[in-house]
Amino acid sequence: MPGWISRIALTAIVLLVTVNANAASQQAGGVMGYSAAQIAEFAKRVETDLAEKSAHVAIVSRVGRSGDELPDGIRYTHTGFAVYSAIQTADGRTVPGYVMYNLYQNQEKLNVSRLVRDYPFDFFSAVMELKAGVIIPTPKLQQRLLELIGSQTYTDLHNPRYSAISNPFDARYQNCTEFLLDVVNAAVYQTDDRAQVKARNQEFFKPQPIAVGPVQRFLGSLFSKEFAFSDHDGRVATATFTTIAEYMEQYGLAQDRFEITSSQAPSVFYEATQRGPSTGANRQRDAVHAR
Amino acid sequence: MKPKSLIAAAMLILTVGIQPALAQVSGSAEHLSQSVTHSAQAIGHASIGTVKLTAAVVAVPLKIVGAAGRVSGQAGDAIWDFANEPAKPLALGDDTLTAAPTPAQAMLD
Repeated sequence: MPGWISRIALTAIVLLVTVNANAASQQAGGVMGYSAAQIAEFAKRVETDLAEKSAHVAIVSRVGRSGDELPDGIRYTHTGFAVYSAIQTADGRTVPGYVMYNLYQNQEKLNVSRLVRDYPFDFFSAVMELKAGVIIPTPKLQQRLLELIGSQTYTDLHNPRYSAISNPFDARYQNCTEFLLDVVNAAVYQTDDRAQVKARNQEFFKPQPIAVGPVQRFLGSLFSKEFAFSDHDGRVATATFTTIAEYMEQYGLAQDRFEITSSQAPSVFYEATQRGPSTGANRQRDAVHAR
Repeated sequence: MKPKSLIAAAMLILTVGIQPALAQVSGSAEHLSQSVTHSAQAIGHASIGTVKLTAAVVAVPLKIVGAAGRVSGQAGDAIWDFANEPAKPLALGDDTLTAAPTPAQAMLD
């Protein structure tokens, strides 16, 4: 490799690290976040709104970054299913409530995901805004989703190869919204055939275009494992909460769609690795992947 | 400016620009640390500030069936007959539930 190319590459890496360090320094200096009480109250409010609408299965999204940092067309950063369940507690009681079914990115290996069940308080911990997007499927689709989520098909639809911008028409990579769309369409078409699910996605679903140029594609692939481009032909587009909501509304799959917000302001200053009420050193936040 | 310098400048700008732009797209990170309150969760309850958390051990979706609704409160039994009854608000507990630690994590306490 010519020396000048090596020097450019080295400088680029140094600059990249500097930029990423700057992104992290916003945390190093600390940020304002929500208290455990605020998050618990909001999570319970989301649960209450779902319960009042008799939702056995709902699609719920959260905001893990401030709105002005999100690209055009993207309003939420993570989406999962809320499933009304009988929950056994560690102290031996059984209580009714909602369980969140998520595809989460592995924080140690950013190009890998896993399926995780947690609870609304966990789901909304460390959000940037107390805001939730909600889609309530029609009762008939809720019933099909409930059957599917409790079956092996739910697990089989998961592809652990993670890309934050995965193409919902292609099975090579998957992100949380693509997985959710795959589950919805597997329920709609009552199939466990991933090829059929992808074909239906391509036929009826309109993903959100993401503005990424050809050179950015090349460099993005080089420098970050969580962004794969090989599953995209031409333009880059991915599934989002909004495009899934539009798809479900267009084809009569949604009974209701709404947003839940809170006017409360962040009330707690969190230092360094914290962004919410939990104090664990490995506490995660959405999309702080620029490290 | 020499061609090499132009290429260098373009590479640097694009390299610096790419990652923050794409990073904003992603966001499926798991939020709650699993090391938060394990010792307390092991006995069922934990507190963060004024919030009492209840560790959840296992959950079973409450099923919907088309037959006449029967409310039993047992996991897996139907509590809503969507075909024959108007939708009614679902019951909720007062607990703020959180995911229990895995056995491996619990052994670290």
